[in-house]
Amino acid sequence: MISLPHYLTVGAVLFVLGLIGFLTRRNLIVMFLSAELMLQGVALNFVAFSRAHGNLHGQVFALFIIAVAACEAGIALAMFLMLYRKKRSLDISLWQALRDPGLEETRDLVPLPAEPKEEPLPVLSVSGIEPARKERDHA
Amino acid sequence: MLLADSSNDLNWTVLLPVVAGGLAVWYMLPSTKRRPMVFGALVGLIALAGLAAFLVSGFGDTIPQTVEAGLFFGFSGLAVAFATLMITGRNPARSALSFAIVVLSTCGLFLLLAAPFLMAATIVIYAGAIIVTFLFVIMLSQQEGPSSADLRSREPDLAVVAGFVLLASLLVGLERVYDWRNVDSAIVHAQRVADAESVDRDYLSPLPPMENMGSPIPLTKKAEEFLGEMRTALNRVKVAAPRTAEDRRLTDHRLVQEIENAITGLKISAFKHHDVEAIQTNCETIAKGLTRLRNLRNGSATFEDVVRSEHGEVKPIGNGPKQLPAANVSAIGRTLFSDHLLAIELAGTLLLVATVGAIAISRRERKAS
Amino acid sequence: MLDAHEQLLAVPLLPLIGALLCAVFGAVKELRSWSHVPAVVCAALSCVCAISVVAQLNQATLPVTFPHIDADRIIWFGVDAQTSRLMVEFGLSADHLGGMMLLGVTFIGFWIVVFSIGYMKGSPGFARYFAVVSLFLASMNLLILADNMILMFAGWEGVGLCSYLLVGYWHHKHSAAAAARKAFLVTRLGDVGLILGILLLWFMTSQEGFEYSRFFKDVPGLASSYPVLFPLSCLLIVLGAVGKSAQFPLYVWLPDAMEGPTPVSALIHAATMVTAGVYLLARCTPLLLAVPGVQLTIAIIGAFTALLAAFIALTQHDLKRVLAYSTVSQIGFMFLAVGCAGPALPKIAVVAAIFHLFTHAFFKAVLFLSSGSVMHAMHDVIDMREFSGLRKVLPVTHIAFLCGALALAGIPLFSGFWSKDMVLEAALEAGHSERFGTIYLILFGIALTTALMTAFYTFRAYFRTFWGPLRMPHGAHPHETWVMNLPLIVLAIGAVLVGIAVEPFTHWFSGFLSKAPFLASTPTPEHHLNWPLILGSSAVALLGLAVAYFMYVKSPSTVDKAARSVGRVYSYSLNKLYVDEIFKVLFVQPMNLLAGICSLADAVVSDLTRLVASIPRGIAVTIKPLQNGLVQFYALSMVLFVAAFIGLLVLFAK
Repeated sequence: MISLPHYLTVGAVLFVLGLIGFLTRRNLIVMFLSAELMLQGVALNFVAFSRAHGNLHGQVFALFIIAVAACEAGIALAMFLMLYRKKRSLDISLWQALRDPGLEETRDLVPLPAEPKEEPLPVLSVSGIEPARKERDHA
Repeated sequence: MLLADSSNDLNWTVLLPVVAGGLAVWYMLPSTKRRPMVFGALVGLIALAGLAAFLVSGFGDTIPQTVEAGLFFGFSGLAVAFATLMITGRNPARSALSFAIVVLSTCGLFLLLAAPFLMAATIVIYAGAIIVTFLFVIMLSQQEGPSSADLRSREPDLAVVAGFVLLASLLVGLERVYDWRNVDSAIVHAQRVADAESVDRDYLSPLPPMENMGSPIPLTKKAEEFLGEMRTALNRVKVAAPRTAEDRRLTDHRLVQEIENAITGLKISAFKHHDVEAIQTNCETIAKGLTRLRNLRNGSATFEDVVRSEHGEVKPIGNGPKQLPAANVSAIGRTLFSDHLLAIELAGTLLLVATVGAIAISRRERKAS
Repeated sequence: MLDAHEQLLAVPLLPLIGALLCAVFGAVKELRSWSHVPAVVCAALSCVCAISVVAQLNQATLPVTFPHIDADRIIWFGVDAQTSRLMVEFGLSADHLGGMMLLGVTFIGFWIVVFSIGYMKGSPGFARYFAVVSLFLASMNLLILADNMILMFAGWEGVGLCSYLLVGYWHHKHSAAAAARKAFLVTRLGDVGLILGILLLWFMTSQEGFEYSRFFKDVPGLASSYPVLFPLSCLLIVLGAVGKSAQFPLYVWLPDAMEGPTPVSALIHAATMVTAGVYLLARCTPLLLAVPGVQLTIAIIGAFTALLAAFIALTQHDLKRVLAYSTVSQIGFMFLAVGCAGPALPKIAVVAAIFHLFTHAFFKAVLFLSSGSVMHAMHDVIDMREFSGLRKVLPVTHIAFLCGALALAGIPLFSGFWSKDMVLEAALEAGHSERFGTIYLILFGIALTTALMTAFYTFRAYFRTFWGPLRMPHGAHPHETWVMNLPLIVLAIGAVLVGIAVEPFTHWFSGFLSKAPFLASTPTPEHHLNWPLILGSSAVALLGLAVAYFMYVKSPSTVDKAARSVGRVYSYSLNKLYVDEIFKVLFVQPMNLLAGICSLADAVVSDLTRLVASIPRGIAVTIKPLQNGLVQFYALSMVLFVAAFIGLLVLFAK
């Protein structure tokens, strides 16, 4: 029989995955999605408990979680837009002014690997002779 | 306390999904080193299989091969897999879509948990509204494709270690709380002793020679083991729902007292003096009591006692296993507007304030002319 | 209509309201150019009230008080201890001495405020000027009217503050700021003495209140039971008076205080505030009569200061500085008169001091105001070497200055003549006493010499400014306006007539003043004109005038010759006897040395403190990188510890 602890396990896994996402990802939107993922895990717990205890309070809790998440989403997205307008980027590491005075800004030291060159796409010539290979325009 | 008082050893089935899952997530997180995704996917699949194994065997229940079990595993697997994809994806738009699938899978789980209204609400609000808004924001802000921030992670090693240590702790805790196997075996054992024609000689202490009548009689090894098993099982059901001193009149407290008395009786006299009748009575008491307590904890039995509180005496309503009402929507509505009226008003206010706040924040500031 | 008691309260209260209104006007942009109006109106009303109070005093013998019933007395602050009750009350009281002072202060104050309208026009901080002047009038009136010494001290400090603010009115000018600081600090020396003296008196008397009447109740008893402390307290009060009235050795601030606007010099540093010391000593006559030694000290200080300041004034080129030194000198005369109060009859000596104070207020005010008018016309140049022959371009100023100069020089029939004559008479009378008689005679001689010098330097300034060929500094545009001329005319008439009108033939002034409670009980002298003295002092004054006329109008070439023939003496006078330099060596440099040592010690202590403080800072440096501003890092540390905690719980807690 699928019982309470199974659901709690799935909820815990979702919560921890959301937590890791929140801690590691630097895109504000992905961070926020991770927070929502944690909320999903918690909501799953509540609903499972609701089933186990045979009353509806757990489901009501889950409903409130949805309401709060909706508020959060509205405010957070508005803030993201504002922050984006200021720095033209959603990288949260750009907002680190609240550090100890005199401390160096944390920067990314390791360079990103070079993008592998994409295979140039063949361009068909007009008359059906062998297609000439031309670099794709990236602009 | 709950975790500490359990005498279960660590269940090593926890380790496989945790370690493999940690490796897989760490491997797949964005990094400046280029990693082939295949290995990540492989380790991830192993972790998923480990998780399934943990679910099947971790709690001692047997999983029947029903549609429900199939759906549960399907939805859970989808949810976990896409959650992993969501947190590891380089493209925020894909992350958002993965999250949509996670939400849909959780909705399936909600449905399995007899919460159809919540399922519908979650689909409408989350998958329908919130994620669409996210996609809009992504379209507004990231028109140039993934930025360099999306290709890096902040402290992936520490974060993964912390997260999966936490997960391991949670799983072990769950296991300790919901694994009833040693209680079940203790009940079977006690019942067997009680039902037997005669008590096995191994349990009975050999009578001392006449000249040493006054000296203490030791218990046999088998008897010690039996009593230890009983005591462990008793502790297990006791800690699962600790009681305060105020509700001593409740059944479960009385049952615990009875079982303790029976164990003490066995220890002090019955096994030593070869009192077969007493042994069988006490074992019967232990088996009955443990069964009842286990069912109470499980939720498959109900309290019949009168609950005293400052509001007066309350009798629990209804016997038999707890069940949710069939008319889910109307029942939720009744609960919301009776038990949680203030909370729902507050939530409404919160939504209103959030709307105003969102508009105020995102308003473009007019340049001072 | 207000009754006398309420009018008494109105006298200091109205200028205070005026000051507040001026400040409010100054804060509102549209009203800023009208901010002189409240000051003028309140000064006028205050003057009217003062005249009304004095008119009622003329008939009465008892002082007018506020509150007029003892039960209504207002407690300002108080401390009840087991052994003593320190209770300071708010009470005003105008006796005949206070009434006379009040009349002078409010009347002259009003006309000077009117003069300031023209003089200060267009200056930045117009409203600030009138607010502070109004506040000054309020403080001065409070000083005069207070019936206890602590309230008097409040007024005393109030006028000191206003003096500081007004001397430093052009605070962006370095010299003005320095002068203001100097004035404030030097007078502070005297003020410390004064408050110590007051507290000593309080300690010696009933230890209940600070009213004058309590202090004066049993003076002989005090003097006999405290043979050391009582003279000491009197000396401390004299120190306060010396500081405020710019007597030797604390006179050095007054010439520098001329950095302030000229009407301020006229009001504060000639007519009113600097005479507060004389007023205080006159008020304390009952105390001083018990200690003849202190009286003699006062007289010596006064005479010496008079001579010293007159000597310095002989050669100064700055018109306002000449007037400043002459002020110091004239206040020296007043001190001399007060100091004679023991050996001579108090009704002669104190009346002479206050009479001289009264006439001096008029003629010195008119002198300062006309010098201000000259300065206004000469584009802020006041050096007498830069201009001459101004009598044609500034006719009203010329006549006013002439009136003031005649009065100051003590030319017969002008007001200064009569009052100075009274001072000399008091000194002469003191010379006839048994004790210290010789010393007082010497002082009389000094005073007569000073009178000669006064006549000389006064007319030296007059002739150099208004006679000779017409010369003006570049940029000057001589003009006179009615708002400045009117006060000049009124005060000039006062300077000419006030002496002859109130005293020598009518004896109204001395009769009025003698009704003051502390004088009423002393014996009354018979009024007579001491003809030898009158003739002698007239001759001395005319001689000074004649010498000045000869040297500066008839044959100007003799000036240089005379200066060269007394070369060293001349340079002493020109450099103010090097008093500032001596003070610098005696006080400033040791203080600088002490300050250097202190700052060295301070540096050691603060470095030690810094050393202690650097320990936690050093510890902090090691954990500082944790505060790196990355939100995710903070969240990570939180999660790490939660995970570690729960993990430990699972692993080890059985």
